[in-house]
Amino acid sequence: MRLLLLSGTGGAGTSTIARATAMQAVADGARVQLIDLADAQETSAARSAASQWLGALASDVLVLRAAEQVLPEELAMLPGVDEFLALAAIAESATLDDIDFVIVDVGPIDALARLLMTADTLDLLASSLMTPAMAIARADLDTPLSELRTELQRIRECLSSADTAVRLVCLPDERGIASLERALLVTSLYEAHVDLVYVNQVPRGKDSWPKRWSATRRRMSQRIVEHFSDLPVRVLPLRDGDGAPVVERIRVVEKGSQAWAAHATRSIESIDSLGSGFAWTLAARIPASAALRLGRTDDRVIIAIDAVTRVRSLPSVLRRCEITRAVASPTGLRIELAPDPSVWRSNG
Amino acid sequence: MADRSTPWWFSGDSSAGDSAPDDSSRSSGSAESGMSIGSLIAGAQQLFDWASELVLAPHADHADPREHPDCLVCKGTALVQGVRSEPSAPRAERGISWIPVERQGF
Repeated sequence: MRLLLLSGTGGAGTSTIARATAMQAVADGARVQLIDLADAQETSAARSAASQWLGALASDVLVLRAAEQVLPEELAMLPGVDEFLALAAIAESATLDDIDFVIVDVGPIDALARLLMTADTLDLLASSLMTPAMAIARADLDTPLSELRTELQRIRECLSSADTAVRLVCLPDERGIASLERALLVTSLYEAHVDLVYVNQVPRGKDSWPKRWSATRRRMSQRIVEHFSDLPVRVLPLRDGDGAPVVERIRVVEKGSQAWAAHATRSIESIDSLGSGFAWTLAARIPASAALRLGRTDDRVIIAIDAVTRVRSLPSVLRRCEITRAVASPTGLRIELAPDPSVWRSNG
Repeated sequence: MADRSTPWWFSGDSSAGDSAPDDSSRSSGSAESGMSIGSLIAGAQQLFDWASELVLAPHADHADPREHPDCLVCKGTALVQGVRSEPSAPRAERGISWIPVERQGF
């Protein structure tokens, strides 16, 4: 099963492209499920799953902390609950065996960012709430909180899987580059793979659009293609006459190609041994002007790039090390660590 | 003789007519301990006056907080100034240590 998440700037035609992609995949013989997140959050199945998870949180966390019993319905206004429902809908579809492609119309880029962040943040929250004593004492019990963690882990693996891809849509205007930069930063930091960028509604020279406006849009389109030259960018024309975007069918992948079966593997992070320690390299698409912050608290690092923050647990091999250097480049963050003498037991 | 339930700071001579610690006022709902709103305000005023006399009056002549380490107000002022003048990074923030990030290849 392949998962495609489509997201774009407002009014860029994301929903139209999602539907066109689904139509072509069906025409090519694939079994497709199309999810509109705005609708999916309201479906009863998603509500039921979300209600179950919220119930898990309420019963396992709040009751353990001697709070009164809290009904899931009472938590419906929690921040992030919409993303929670969306994740429930996607996770549900991802388990279907008889589907080749799940195509998700995520909506605006901010919604995509919140979606990716929610899975990560909820998992972090759940792990923080599970104290070591609780984890040991109840390891063999199927507690709702551990079920929630397992489910979140599954969702995170699904979102960062080689079979999952994000497709971004923008218009050929000034907002295009900035919006795509932000989307690429979020997706890279949260390990989601962008496999295609659509620049939609680019007027053709032969059509009867106002010449100057038309030329500006084509110039902006070219700038976007050049700016993101390391990514596959596809320009979609604006149909002559009524200004509606082209509703041509868009192929997910060419049928019979290798990509139909699986994506190429990609490297998200790596740990290399240095003479005196380790280098932990994290892939991220960092804009040149981005404000960068790196923090450490216990076994976690906080990576803040502009307004996007991710908290990562240190791999176990690096936990008893101190960070000696951090270097940011356009393609990622390299964190150098050395064993911390104060936490390594001496054999002498 | 003073009533045992009257707090030490209650003078008993409040100008408010209903504040006298007599049996009739004690029996009225909110004044079970012989107090009323008027007497509470009067007591608070006395506490404030006492604090002002002890802390604020001596501080009135202090120009430089560093020269008066025994003065409570000067001590607080020096503490606030010290916090404000601390460098912003690296710093501890709820147990977080911030690491400077170098930039290469931009």
